[in-house]
This record gives sequence, C-alpha cells and structure tokens, in this order.
Amino acid sequence: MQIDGYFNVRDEPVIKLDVGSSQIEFLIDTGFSGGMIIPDRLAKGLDINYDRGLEEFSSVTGETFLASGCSMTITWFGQSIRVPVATSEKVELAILGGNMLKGCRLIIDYVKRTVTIMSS
Amino acid sequence: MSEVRRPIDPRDFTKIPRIREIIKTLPEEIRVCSKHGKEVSIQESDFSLNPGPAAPFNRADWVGCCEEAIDKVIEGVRETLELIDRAKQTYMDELARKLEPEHTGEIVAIELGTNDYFVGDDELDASDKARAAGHAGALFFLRVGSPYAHRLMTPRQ
Repeated sequence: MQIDGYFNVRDEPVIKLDVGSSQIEFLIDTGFSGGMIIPDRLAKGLDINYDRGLEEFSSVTGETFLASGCSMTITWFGQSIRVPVATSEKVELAILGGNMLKGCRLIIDYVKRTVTIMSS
Repeated sequence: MSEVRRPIDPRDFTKIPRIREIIKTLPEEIRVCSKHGKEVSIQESDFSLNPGPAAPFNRADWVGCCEEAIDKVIEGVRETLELIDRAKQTYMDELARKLEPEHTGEIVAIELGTNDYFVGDDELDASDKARAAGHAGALFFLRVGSPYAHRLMTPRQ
C-alpha cells in the first residue's frame, strides 16, 4: 500500500491525511524525530484528545519549547489508527516526522516531482 | 459578566507559549472559574510596528472573570513548572540509571507530583500504560537517553 503526496507551493514534500472529518496537509520532515506536531490554530478544529500530557522539544536554534502531548485518530494506509500528536503555537505547519515513517519507505523524487510513502 | 485584566511583565513575554501549554493540562476546576464558569486566558495586544525585542506585541494580560480565578491559574502554572523541574531531576538522579541503555530511545511518561513512571514505544503507549495503572495526573514525556522528547531540526518562520 502507498500514500501519495506532492510538492506544495514552497516546493516542500507534503501529504494530506484524513484527521476525523478534516483533511490536513503535513510537511514531511525527517529532521523531526517525533510522529506529528500540529499548530494550535489548526488543532482547534480537530478532534484531539488532550490527556494532560506535556513534552519538551528542542529546535534547530537550540531553543526548547513545551508542547501538549495528545492523541488523535487518522487514516493511515487505509486504516483508522490512533496516533500520538503534539500541539504547539511554536510551529506554523503540521509536520509529520520520522516516528510515523518507521517500517515505511519514503521516496521523494525531485526529478519526477513525486512523494510516496510505502508500507513495508 | 465582568472581566478582569492583569498585565504580564514584559520580561515574561517569552514564557507565554510555555504557560499556555501548561494551562491546557490544568484540571478544569483550576482552568475554569467555579463561580462564573469562565476560562482564564492570556491575551496579547498592541501589535505595533515597533514591538519589543522579545515579542511581536507590547502588551499581554491575564484575562479572567475575577482576580481569584486568575490567581488560581497562575498558582497552577507555577506549581506545574516546579513539578516539571522535579520530574527532570528525578529522571537524571534515578531513572536514567534504571532505564538506560535498555530503554534508550523509548518514551518515558512521568506523572507530575508522584514521579511514577511508565515506559512505552511512544507517548501514546506510555500514556495508555499510566492511565491503565490508574494514574490520572498530568504526564511529562521524555525520551530515554535525551534531555527532551523530540528534536525539530528544520528551521521555521
């Protein structure tokens, strides 16, 4: 099975995922070690389960920031699954990181302009 | 309903995102005024063309329905910050030697207050274990072997 993405207007590799009844565009960021992080402004409209969790992130500038550690249900390779997600006002885009890609093959083809995530 | 505003010291403007995250984890009886049913929040204003060096705004206030409600939330935030520091200290003093290297790379959820801990593959796994064991308190997640849970290496903004 595979999930097809695309390059957004800033020429970044992204995928769209179903989150409840919404569709969210996630930047694929292998420089992010977590699963997903969503800006607060997007999180407000989503069915996110805030279960009183907090976690610290370290950013490229060396700054650490606090985010809420929560969970939500997404459609991933056709299956509805519950995943951990962080929400923060310190990010501007929804980001999908390396933890979501475990057991997958990510192909970003800058020649063919395709973005593909394949399950192993 | 009346509204009370309490200015935040400009030296604390950089702490606002951190404070907001903590407010989300406070129990409803602290976040929401028991008398008036209104949530306490932080509001920024005066987004002038010449903002201060620390933030893109010149003023920020605690906003609530009464002074008591604001006091309660400020106290809840202060307490949570202390508990986070204590959880980090507990990790360094006790948990690191128990969990590393066997669980390095996994996520540990430390319950704030009790410092009871649960290890999982990710935050959801660790949190589910904590809740299944009857722990309802706020959880602080750390990656075993690291001073924080995750790194975000792509520059933003």
